[in-house]
Amino acid sequence: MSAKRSNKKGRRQVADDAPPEPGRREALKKLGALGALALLDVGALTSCGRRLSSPQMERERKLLILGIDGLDARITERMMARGELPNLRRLRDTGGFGSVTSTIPPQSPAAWASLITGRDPGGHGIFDFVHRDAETYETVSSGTATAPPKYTIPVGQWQVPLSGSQVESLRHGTAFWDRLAERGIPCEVHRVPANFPPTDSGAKQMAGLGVPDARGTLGTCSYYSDVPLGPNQGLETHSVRVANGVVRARLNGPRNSLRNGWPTTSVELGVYLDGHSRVAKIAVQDQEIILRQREWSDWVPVRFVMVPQVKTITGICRFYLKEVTPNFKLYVTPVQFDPLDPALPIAAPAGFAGELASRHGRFHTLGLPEDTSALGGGALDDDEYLHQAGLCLEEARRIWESALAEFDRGLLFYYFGYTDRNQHVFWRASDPRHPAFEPRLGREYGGIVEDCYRLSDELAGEALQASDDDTTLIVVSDHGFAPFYRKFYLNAWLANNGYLSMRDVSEGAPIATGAVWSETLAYGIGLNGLYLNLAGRESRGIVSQEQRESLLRRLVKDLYAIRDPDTGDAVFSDVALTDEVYSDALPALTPDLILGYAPGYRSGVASALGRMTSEELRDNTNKWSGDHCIDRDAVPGIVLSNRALRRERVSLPDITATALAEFGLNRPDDVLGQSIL
Amino acid sequence: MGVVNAAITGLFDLLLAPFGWSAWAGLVFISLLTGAVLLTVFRYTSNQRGIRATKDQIISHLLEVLLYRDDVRVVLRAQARLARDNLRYLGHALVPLAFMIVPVGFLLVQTDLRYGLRPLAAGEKAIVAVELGPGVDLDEVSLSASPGIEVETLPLRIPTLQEVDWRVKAVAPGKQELRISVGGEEFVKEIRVGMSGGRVSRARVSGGVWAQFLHPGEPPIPRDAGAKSVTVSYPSAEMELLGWRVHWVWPWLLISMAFGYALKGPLRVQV
Ligand SMILES: [Zn+2]
Repeated sequence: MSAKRSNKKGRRQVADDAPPEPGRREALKKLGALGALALLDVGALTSCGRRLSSPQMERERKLLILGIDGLDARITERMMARGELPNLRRLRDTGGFGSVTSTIPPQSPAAWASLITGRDPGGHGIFDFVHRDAETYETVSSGTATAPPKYTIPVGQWQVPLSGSQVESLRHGTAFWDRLAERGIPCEVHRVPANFPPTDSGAKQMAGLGVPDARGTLGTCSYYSDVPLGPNQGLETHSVRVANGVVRARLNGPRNSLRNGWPTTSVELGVYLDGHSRVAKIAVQDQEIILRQREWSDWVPVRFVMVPQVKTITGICRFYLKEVTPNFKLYVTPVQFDPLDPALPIAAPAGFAGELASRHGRFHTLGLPEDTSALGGGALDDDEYLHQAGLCLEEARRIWESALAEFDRGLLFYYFGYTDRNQHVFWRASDPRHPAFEPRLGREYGGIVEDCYRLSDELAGEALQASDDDTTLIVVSDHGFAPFYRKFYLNAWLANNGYLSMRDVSEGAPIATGAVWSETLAYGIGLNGLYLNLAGRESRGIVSQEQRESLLRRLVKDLYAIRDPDTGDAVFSDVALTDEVYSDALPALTPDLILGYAPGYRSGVASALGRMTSEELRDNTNKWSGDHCIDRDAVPGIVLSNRALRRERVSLPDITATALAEFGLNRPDDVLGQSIL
Repeated sequence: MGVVNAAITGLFDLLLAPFGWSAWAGLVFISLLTGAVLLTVFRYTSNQRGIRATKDQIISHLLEVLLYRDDVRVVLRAQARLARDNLRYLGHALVPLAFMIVPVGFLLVQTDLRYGLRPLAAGEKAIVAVELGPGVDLDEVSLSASPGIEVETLPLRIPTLQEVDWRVKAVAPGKQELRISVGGEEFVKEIRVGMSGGRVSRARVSGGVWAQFLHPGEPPIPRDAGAKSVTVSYPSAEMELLGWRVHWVWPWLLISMAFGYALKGPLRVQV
């Protein structure tokens, strides 16, 4: 059909048999007359393109990777061209700059999983932020699974486990630092996504994106007020009454899996208000905190009792006294695991989180700590959200700075996610074409997106400062960014075009229970995934293997043909057949098609969560206004190094291969990339 | 009570003066003192002969149970006597317990005054809570402080508790002052920042003997001042014991018991 589709074969991520020769020849050409000398110095490139090094050298070599989520190649270049981002420019001019081709789809968990394992999503098994259960058609977490204890005995109202319940990572493939740690190379890895729970390989790791809050969600804040806020995702609103200047409420914690029916645990919250002074005292357990209006508390540890005297789970949260008068408004961050006493394995070795917390103070442990849901739901306004995100950034930078100062050998890999979240929610302020744009927003917050790049530049500067001649520095992002003007509801489109048959046509009806599966050919779950209702794979599948090929062909044709009635633009610029784009496939798990939206479009959340809507397309007036879960070619990331790059276009598995090569390790067969240095 | 408190606090200050350099040294000294005092009190207030006789009988009944374990009748009878003798033994302990409770009470309160809390660190925040007498108008209370303390908030009045709170921040180390004014009557509460060693008094109180007994660190609030107490939310102090952070009462218990046990032979005390 389009030229785009014809080059599909070319987009298969660099395969095992891709020769390293051209890259190396490039490098040699650049070296010019100094080539021979330089070769001696670098210790060289041997005939097979791999560096020779003794075990001693492996241990003294230093690789510093600064992973920054969502830095876009075009925005970076535009700002560098204006003379901004001095540290990134210095890296580009003295080392190398390249653009990163993200994964299909370019979603953070899938992309970082590729960067750390060297596999594509077909190999590491993370295709989207949610997957579907082929048995029930329900949405399930793509990153982790919790296996309930195998045996429990009921004792009164308790369920006493005879074996511990376990959290299991669903990511396939080996993280490159696990391979390095095996060779005795010291590794320290902070907050890299798709690494929860971390493996016990000897590498020091603090998990990041993927770690739930204490309630097992991506982050559910609590909001207490005497003026109700509508129901919202990621928000728990409590309607409270102020009586004699006192508010009594409860703060919910984890569900108690040790008791019949898994009731939610909670603790009492007392708030004493003085409207005249605009201060309040919050009493929780044996702690009291006084806050002025618009003040944030430090982390407050809260103990949730599972079995009295025997088992408690400690969570931490921050309180924000939004308003005392005329109305009472109190925001509480999602309750997160306490790094000093984590109930789940958020670090490896187990004591690493506690070690960091006792040195630097308590810090957020939630994978997505910036509370964009509270912003979207109105619990926090723009300034309040920025402050909350800023607190998370401060904590992350404190640990980053000390890790840098102490870095003397091996690998240090540090990840920042702040840049991704702020671009997501503030794109609307710097793009006058966005449906949520207002001139006032532009004046006040128009610089936030570019501030993300200035921050990254500062971090890169700190990394450069900490790098000596033995250090290889890599600054890398997983994908770029694009506007999100219009929401597309795939399931509505599938229903309107005869692919999906619904019994329940009410707004928001879940397809798992509302669809007539005996008449359904295809359905959507996740931001980019489309699944056929395949016989033998789906529990009530009707599409046979023989029909599959022609049905996919028809779907691809129909999806490319979709036009936005308002603009006449195509909604999709790339519809990928997973059979073609992945080197490997986990047949039960892999979607049949990955939909690459054209810039400006993205899936509506309702459809991604497997729900039906009446509309197919709608303006996006949300705060969540920029996105990257689209055609990967529309959202290139960046890579910079203090060493010259062999290529200007880099795939995420190339970073895996590079990290291994830096320490003289052979590229394992499942790693698709090639070293870029 | 104020006079008694002042005298006992002075005595402990004097006793502990040589150990100002280390909390552990002071606590070990107090623990040894506790062991010695308790043992002495026990020696002279208990029926030593009665205790020895009862203990001998308990042992012989135990032997009976062991030796005649096949003879149900003997065992049952021996067990009944064991129970009786155990009660008798406890009875012997009651008298000395009554004598010990007073010195131990003062000792615990004085020890807690010194090792229970730690001073605020510079930059640390705390809550100052003033509890007022019935009928006192909450609007008439104000707080000011010496330069080493910053009062960070306006008064938080809690009518349901007849209490007014402030948040303060420690700025400079030293023995700082909080000046509380209730309807024009002013009085002072000390607040300590960044000094190790010495007393940390959580509350200054007025009124009852019991309240004053528990808070001997500062003289009572004048009766006409209108306030029942002023409290500073100091963080609790912890001592490091074999890598654990523990409350002082655990090492105190361990050391005083070990010491008492070691001394009971030389002092010929039956316990
Ligand atoms: Zn990302």
